[in-house]
Amino acid sequence: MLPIVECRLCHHHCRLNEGERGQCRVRINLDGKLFSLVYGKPCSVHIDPIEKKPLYHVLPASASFSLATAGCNLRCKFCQNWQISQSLPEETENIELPPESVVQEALKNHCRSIAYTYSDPVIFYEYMLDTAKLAKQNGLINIFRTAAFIEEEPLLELCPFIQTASVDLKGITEEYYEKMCAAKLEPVLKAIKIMHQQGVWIELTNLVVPTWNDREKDIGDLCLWIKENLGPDVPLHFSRFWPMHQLKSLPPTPEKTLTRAREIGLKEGLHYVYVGNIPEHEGNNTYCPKDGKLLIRRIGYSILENNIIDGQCKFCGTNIPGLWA
Amino acid sequence: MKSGDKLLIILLVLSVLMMGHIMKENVISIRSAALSTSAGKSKVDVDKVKAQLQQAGLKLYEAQYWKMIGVQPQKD
Repeated sequence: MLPIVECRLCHHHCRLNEGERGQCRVRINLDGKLFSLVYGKPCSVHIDPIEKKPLYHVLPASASFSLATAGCNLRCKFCQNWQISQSLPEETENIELPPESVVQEALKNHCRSIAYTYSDPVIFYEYMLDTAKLAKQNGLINIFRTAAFIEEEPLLELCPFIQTASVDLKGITEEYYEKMCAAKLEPVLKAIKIMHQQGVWIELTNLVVPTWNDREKDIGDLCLWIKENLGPDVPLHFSRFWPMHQLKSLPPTPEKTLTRAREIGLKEGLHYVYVGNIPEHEGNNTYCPKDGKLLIRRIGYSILENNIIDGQCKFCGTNIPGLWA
Repeated sequence: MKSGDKLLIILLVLSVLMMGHIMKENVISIRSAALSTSAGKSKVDVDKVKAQLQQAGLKLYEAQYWKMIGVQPQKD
């Protein structure tokens, strides 16, 4: 008899016969046990500015040790890292980097944080969890860069070790998630709320894809959901789409669409709404929600001016939420 | 009967025959696809899979969050 196992890590709940892999391509049923094929085997390792995640309220201008393995549990048509996310681990060039080495390398390179990123770290959960535990012991911040398509139980186990999450909220309709990402919206919203309740600092990113999720109603609904469920202080980044992967025929998001999205977010009552992937847009900057003064001026990933002192606006003393030190 | 009517009848008969053929083809392919799923799966050579993974430089690490939900009969 051949055992069938069900993976309970993400909401796909892949049922795997002997020798089969999940949708993520990196978890396999062998001898009736489920194994990860990518523990300690990243295929992408870089030192990035933390602003690239994007995280605008966490340790500004610091370096983040960033890594990913092959595979992903989503199938986003616009994926910018499809070369690794849509590959088998046999198809990528992997290096041997156990959790202890990740932490050592991060410290050696003067990084303040470790980012589990590029593909979706949910699929290398065990590797991320062990690394995050060690990193926390060594005073590093852990960044969970994710689409948050993860089951509640593993997420709750992870939360005590991650201080911040940069979450892609890709759209606000089930139809969009199903057609564009081969996933579901509802579990993502639930996971975001769980992380928020667990005290994880969250920044959300919405990639605005022309003709797919750029209607003012969708943008308004997304902002409203954030305000009602997470509050106005959770930063939201509207990011520009570039033709990529399976959506090469679409144009880049027009700047005016992103400017309008930001206006909608601010009008809805969100305090920190940003525009990403347009380097000199005023939406790259952080402004005080009380006196409107410029707090952090950014061009691309560079910080030109920082008027936040001890987490407060230098001019009026308003608390600016985030992890600043 | 006019010649136009005869032509129409011939065309109708042909289209019915073609539709029947297409439906038959689809039913056969769906049935064969269904028969080729788990119920009739051949035994996987686990040792061979492990060797291939090792050759690719990959290691097995037991995953968290999974459950055995049943067994299927093996077919050698």
